Amino acid sequence: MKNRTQSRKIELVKTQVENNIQIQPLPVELDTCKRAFTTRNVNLDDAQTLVTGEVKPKAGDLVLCEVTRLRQHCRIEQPNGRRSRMFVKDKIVVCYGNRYAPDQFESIVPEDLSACHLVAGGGVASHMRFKSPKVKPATEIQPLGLLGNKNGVVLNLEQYNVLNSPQVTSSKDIPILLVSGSSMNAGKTTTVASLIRGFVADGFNVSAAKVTGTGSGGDLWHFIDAGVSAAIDFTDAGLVSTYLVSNQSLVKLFDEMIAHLKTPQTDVIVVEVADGILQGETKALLESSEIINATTAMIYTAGDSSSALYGDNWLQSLGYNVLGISGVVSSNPLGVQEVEKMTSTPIFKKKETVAAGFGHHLFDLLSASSLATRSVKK
Amino acid sequence: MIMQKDNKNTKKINTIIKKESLSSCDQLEYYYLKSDKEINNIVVLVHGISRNAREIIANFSEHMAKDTLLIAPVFTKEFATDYQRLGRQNKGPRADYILQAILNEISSEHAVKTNKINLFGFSAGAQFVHRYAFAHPSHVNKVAIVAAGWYTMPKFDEYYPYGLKLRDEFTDIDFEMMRFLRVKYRVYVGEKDYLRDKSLNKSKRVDRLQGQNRLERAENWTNEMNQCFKNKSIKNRVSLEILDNVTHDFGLADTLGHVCGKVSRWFQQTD
Repeated sequence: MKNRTQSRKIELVKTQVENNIQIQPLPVELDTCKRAFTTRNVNLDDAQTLVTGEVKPKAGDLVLCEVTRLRQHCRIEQPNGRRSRMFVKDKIVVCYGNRYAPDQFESIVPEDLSACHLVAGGGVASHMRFKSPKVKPATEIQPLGLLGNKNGVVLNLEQYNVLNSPQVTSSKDIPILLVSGSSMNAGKTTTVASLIRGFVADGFNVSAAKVTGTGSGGDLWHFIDAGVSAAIDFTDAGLVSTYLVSNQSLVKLFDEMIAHLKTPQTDVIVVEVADGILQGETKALLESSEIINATTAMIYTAGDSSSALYGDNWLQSLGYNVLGISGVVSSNPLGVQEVEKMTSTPIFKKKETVAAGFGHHLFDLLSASSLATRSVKK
Repeated sequence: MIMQKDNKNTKKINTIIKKESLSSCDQLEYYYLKSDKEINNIVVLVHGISRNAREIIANFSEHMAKDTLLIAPVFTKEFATDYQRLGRQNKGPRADYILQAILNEISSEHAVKTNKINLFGFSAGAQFVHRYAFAHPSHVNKVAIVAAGWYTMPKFDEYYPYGLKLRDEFTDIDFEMMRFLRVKYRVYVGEKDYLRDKSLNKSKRVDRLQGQNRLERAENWTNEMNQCFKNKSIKNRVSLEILDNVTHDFGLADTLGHVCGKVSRWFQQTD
């Protein structure tokens, strides 16, 4: 028995050496490290080993890193939302991922465990390829190794899809309101939060989802603060970000999220689609017939009047029922005038969306849209 | 007489020295010895290439104070292939990580603070302990270096492991002289440890930089370290103790040189 155990150990070591991959014990207790928001669904007790050497990381792989130079992100968002200050030499637990953010960075998962960047405060390790002139270069980090289970199997977020748990699905027809935007910072999350606030103040139970983007708690906390009954994002489905994820997977993700939120208590589901409508994954997702059919109506947010008109036309041409235009353009009186001259789609100002009765008004519009859609299908 | 004493003690100790596999990696084992008293002194004992961890911890147990926790990791030949040099990139797992994992496990299982340790190493283990102290000085209090085959010299113009200049051996180690010079070091070597035996590193480079045998190398390293203290105006000093009649043998270093008792007493001092 002892010989067999010994030979198994030697075999294991031999295999690792041949592949030039080392599976070694964790040098730190992970609860002494700064753990990022993106890893919040991971049971860190599963992490028993550090996988190092010539290993190629994948998006979602958990990685233990050391901070080597603080640049753009000086804080890391923890699972509870606290943005903890980082210091050089701090050890952080983050995930590898791709990021597309025109106002910050474009980055991809590197080929190996060499030094890379922290491209999102929510905890994304990545190789920065492009940066916006508005921001500093990304904070530099040194991966120490991937986190593995006792057998050296690398932990990946996809193993922690909390949407897998079966929900009691509602049989009622719950309207799904999609919110998209012309670009990053067009006012999507503010609009979603205002809509939630309006609905909740009028007595509705609202659930919200962020279907695309890069792992970070900011938007989810915003939804929760506005009063949603449930808020989820793609990290709950095991994705650290949605950049470079296939459209087929994103459609599946959308369906999973909606199924998760369709509980008997829910009256309306609001879904935010990140980035601008011209961004690759967002464009493909919005063009998908599955999403168009599943969506009851759309509210489009824009940064200015011309993008408001372009997006309104494009979305309507795809078959979306665009109930209103909102976001940054709605806070600019001249922009509002320009838009109103060119389209019959109403402008929803933030103040209006949280006013008494707006939730009921919007719910009526959604119900009407839902009925109309069902009639067309019949 | 000595043998009788050893046998008697070993028999007694058998009941208290415990051997564990690291829960996260069953290829790694360690011995430990702990009393029920409050622990104030963590002593890590590192074996040489004969992997006699059990013998070292047994000998130290005879001198152990009640507030001391003894830990003796086993760095196997198959797994921790480069442990003397901390496990450089592509040369097997990191030996410092292995020790830290053991300390973390003991810390969580026995509610003991293991963030400041005293290190003892014999031969290859002595190589490990001084390099560990150089790499992680904030976690180390005292280091007893016994009969090291050769050393990492405190020089940034020599490449690691001969000196401190790093290429890509480690991703997360920066040698910081102003920190590692604060650690207390003592060097012990046998008076007769001058043979160029088969386990000694006989490379021309080491011969040229450090000397021909363990005695010369211990003297050179001690002098180099003391010069660093002087240059940096740090009140610290490495002392070198020559063990009378002792060759390169742990058993003799203890029976004739009383090294375990001497080191234990030094570790217990609160200087």
